[in-house]
Amino acid sequence: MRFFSLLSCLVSMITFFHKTFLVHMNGLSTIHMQYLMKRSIIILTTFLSIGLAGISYAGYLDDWPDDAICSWMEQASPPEYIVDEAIKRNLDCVPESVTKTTKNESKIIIYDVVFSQTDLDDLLSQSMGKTDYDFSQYKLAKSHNKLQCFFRIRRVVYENKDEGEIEDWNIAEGYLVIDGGKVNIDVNRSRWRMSGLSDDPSYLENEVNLRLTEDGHLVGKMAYFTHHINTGEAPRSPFYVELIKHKKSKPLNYNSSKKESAELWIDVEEWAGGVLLLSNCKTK
Amino acid sequence: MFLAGVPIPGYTKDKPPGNISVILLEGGMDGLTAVPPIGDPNLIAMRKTITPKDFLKLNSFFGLHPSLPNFSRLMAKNNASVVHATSFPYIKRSHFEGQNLMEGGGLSPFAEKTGWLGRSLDLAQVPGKALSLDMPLILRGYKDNDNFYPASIKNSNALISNLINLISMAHSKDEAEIFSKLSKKSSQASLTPRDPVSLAKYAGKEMSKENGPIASVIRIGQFDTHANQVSDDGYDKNGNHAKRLEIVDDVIAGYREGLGDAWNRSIILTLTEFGRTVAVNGTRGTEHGYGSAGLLAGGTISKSRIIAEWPGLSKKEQFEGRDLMATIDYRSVCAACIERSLGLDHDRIASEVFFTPKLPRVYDYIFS
Repeated sequence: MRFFSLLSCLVSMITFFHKTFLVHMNGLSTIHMQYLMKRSIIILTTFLSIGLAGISYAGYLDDWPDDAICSWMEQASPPEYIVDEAIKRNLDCVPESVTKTTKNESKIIIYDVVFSQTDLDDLLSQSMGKTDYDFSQYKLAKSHNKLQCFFRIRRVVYENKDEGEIEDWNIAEGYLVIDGGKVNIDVNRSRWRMSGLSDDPSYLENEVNLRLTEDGHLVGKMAYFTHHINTGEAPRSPFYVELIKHKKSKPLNYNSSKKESAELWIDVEEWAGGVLLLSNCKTK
Repeated sequence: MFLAGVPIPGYTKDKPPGNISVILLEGGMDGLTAVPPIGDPNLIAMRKTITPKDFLKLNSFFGLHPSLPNFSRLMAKNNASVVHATSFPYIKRSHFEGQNLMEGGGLSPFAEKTGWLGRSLDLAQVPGKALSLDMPLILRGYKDNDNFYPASIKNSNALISNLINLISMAHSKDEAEIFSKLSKKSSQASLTPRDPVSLAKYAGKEMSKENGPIASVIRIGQFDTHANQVSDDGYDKNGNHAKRLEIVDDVIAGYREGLGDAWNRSIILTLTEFGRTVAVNGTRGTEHGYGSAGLLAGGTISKSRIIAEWPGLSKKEQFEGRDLMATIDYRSVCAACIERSLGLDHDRIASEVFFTPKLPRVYDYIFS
């Protein structure tokens, strides 16, 4: 804009001298010449005023109220002189990061990550699986007979009763073996009944990480399907639920010589949970 | 989830040196909870009730929320960093405006019709394919971008199928073609679930392929924790905010798994429209704020660190006496990630992607 103002001044001056020259050339009267000069001076003064006003934006923008500057700041890409003026006035409409950007006063510090040796060893030894679980908080059963149980998982609904209602159909069922405290699902004889991704046996084979505690609970994490998927529907991934020593659970008496059963409750969602029912547990 | 930047043989100049994945954290992620500045004496004074007790100590000044175990492991492997006290240049605390700005990448909301990632792909001459029914703002900016969504809706409900066919028949020429295309796409079976973690794994796998996509975007919502940001049982992982962080953590792990060896040329970064107030409200939550934190992960990071110009948390140090001040323009962080992944020059990114020629270069802080 500054450039255009100065250019206008220059053009008006050239026009003035050019016309004066033409007057001489054409031999017009002195009165006519004076008239032309006066007119040219007025034009020249006008252009000079505009030009001088444009030379300094600071003066030009001094008259602008803060609101007007801020309204410009809301535009897609406010002109640089508007941004500069807004920063100069320390207006709230200038994001702090823009101020920093413009002033280029970066005082960024790099804070190195310095783990304690224990944390570092711990972190480096862990994998990133969804069923990874820290069993150190529990006393696990290790010396026990190898057990085989029939298992069923049923949904518990909390909509009508605070204590929950166990639905009378199995969302998963099959056989599991507990050996050395570790739970293994017999994939050939077990299944989820929720269709979709739950039909893939690898969820039972690879994504169940449960252990038997000394007092007969199963703890750990496992893939858990909550929604039935109809043919053609977009599949849904399982939840990864944590099995804990639930206060409602009835643990397994795994040292008994009789066929034993257990009722192990699982917290899943606020409106519904689950229960893992073990039955016919016997030494294999 | 959106995938973009599939190099087209004979069109693309050179294959970009890496790939870039963006995780949009919608609602305003609380950076002070995710990465608490435990060395700041005002933290506990201001937010004792919502600061995690079981944080992982990163150094004498910063900790990490316990709901980010996978991110912690990546930090231990020198593959993850945090940029703290940062934000896009937006201070008005509106979700709609803030989200538009973080995707558009301009100076003010609704100013740009294209997104910063789309403009970057355009500059790198890598036309892309977005995996969504519409083209997300962040990827807009190149006319040859196409889209596709991995959903199978046709068989799930005959009404929807019939409806699409009827709409298709009611239109002619271009519109009919679009609806016909949509109908065809919607009937394609997919075994990819739509949850963020599964999509991240899928995106990672696609990006790891030779001539696979260069960029992907995943949205995670519900960070707007005005209430119950933490639970009343005192367990750090049970609060609303902690559960969202857990998803972010799983998404990063999903990417890690899906990318495989391509991890070494990858960068993943989180974006959020703003942070949250320093003070806690009466419902164990926080209000819309300004400065937050950005999580970065990928094999292109060779040294884990926290990058910050820490502004302090005392009342007078807070933005407008209530928010964490943002001292780093997050567009600089995005620019550094573009520079690393697409091999573009910073000055071009600053002027042609973010329209801010003086945008500071923070590349060396992150990738050196």
